[in-house]
Amino acid sequence: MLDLVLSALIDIFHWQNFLAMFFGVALGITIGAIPGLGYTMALALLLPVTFGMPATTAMLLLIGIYCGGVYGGSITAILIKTPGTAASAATVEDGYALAKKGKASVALNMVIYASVFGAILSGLILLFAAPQIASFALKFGPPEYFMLTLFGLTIISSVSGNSLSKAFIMASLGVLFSTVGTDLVTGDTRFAFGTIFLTAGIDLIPVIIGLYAIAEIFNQAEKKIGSISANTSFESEKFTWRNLIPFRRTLMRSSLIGIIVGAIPGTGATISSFIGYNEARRASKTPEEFGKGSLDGVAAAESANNATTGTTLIPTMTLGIPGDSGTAILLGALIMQGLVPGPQLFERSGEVVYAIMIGFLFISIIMFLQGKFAVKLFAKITLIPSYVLFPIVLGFCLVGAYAVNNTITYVWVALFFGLIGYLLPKFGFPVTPLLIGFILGPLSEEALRQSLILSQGSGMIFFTRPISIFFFLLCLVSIFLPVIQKKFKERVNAK
Amino acid sequence: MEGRLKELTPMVLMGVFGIVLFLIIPSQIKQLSSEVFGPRFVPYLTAGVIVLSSVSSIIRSLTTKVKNEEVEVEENSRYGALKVILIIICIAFWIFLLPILGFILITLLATAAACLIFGDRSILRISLVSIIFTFGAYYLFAHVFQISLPSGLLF
Repeated sequence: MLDLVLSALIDIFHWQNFLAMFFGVALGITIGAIPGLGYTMALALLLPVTFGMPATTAMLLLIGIYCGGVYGGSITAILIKTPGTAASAATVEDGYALAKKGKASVALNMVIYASVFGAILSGLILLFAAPQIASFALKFGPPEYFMLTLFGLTIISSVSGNSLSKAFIMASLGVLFSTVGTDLVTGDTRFAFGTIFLTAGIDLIPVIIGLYAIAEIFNQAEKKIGSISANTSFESEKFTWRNLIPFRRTLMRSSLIGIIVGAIPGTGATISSFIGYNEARRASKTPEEFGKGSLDGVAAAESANNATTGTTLIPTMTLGIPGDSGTAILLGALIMQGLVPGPQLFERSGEVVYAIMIGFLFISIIMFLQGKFAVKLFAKITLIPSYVLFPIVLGFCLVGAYAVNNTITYVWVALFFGLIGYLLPKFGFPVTPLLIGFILGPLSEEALRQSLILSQGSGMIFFTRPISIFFFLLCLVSIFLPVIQKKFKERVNAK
Repeated sequence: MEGRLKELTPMVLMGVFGIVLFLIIPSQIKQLSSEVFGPRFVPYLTAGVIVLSSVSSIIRSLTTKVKNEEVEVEENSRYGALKVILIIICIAFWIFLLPILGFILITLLATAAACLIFGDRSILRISLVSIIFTFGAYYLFAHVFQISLPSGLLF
């Protein structure tokens, strides 16, 4: 192994490989920050370009785009309440609240530090424990997937605002919208209302653009404020690794969540960021600050989603099973380069594989340097007058929704969800549970129905498998522990 | 009374929506009669949660006292609502006219209109923002990302 690592290190420092990583991260950050585009599109665009490149250079370029894209999506989530990718949706509430308080620079710094922390930890796990983690991931069947998504859904109680019943209604609406289109198990159409475009279902990107960006444009138009940041005498605050010390437990916990979720095929950074956020809130001494500008919340969501990027390469490379749409393209790139994904990949193409894994660590460092350099520039966006910024954001939302599938109907979808995101919160209905229901709904439904088909309708299938029981217990802890803690505090205060 | 009505109305509407959902599911989703966990299973489940959550919320609202909170009414709330409606009209125009006028012309007009709605009164700045954004976005999406943007029927 050591000779392969040394050989990979030498390979990484070839100028073309270094340039590929540098360019890939910059492109990923830029495209990740544009609503409607995201790293999947950037990977798809660059894939044909990499055909003539050496395997290591091509893979490093694409992984740079992937990592940069996951990070870049959080920049607009903080600055203009528009997550560039679904993985940044958990960062929106706290990040944007901080930006409005004039602390955009602090929030952006936390994003880059937490992202790099999660990514490096994930890269080390990828380097030293890929085969072991791959064998663990293989134990995941439909019952385990269902319990994992159920665990993800328990976050609804954390983001419910003042009313749990309203949060349940919104989450149900999210699940309901996710059922529109063709049923993946039977092939029947659901809620298509005789139209063709609804048969294909509702895409996630216009939903996010509508719920957050367009709804925020309506809110800003209604309020008439000068700029996003309340603090017009904006100055960037100094932020170093020392600033992470109070958040070390959150970072470790969320990174571990991201690492585990990333290793499970078909899950991805979105789920890990929500689970990481939920667990940070549950463990926090000040959970009431979450959603109102908590740096802990930003650290949790960002370290979790970036920790996913490294370990998601494990099932991709060792099992040939992609973790999400981004890694599906990376898998295609591996095959295109003549590398056969699977357990034999380490033996047959060890040099390239180790170059990819070590390159991943260097990509995290490059991402840190580029992000750190750009934070000061990004933060100034919150000072742009709203009559200049929001028309531009609106333009990006419209063209971004259109660009998802080159169809005007997706702009209607974005407008529809924009109205939901604008109107329902006025009556106390929180928006985030709807998005969580929409993201986790299809995974959860598919796993539930597959499990029940396997067990011929018996629910006992969820309680006879160790991993499934483990996640079920986590669900119980996640739901009941805050209630018990609250009762305990009330008793202590009463005494 | 007014506070309670304001609290109850959305929950009643959500409950009604849940019941309507129950009624339309059979016409919208085909399912073999033998299937228990078929394509209708999750939609029925969500409709059930919506109805139950609405009912529980309505009961809680009726059995607890309404807090006498003073509702803050912004002076410019009517003006704000008008601006939201204008933005919606602006988006609708962009959607309807995109295939006819093409991306460049309709985006120029829509961006300028949005600047005006957001309160910009400087003709020079509105023109600059509209032109720079429209041509910048066109170059980025059409040339860099190779996304086909409508050129319109008129040109």
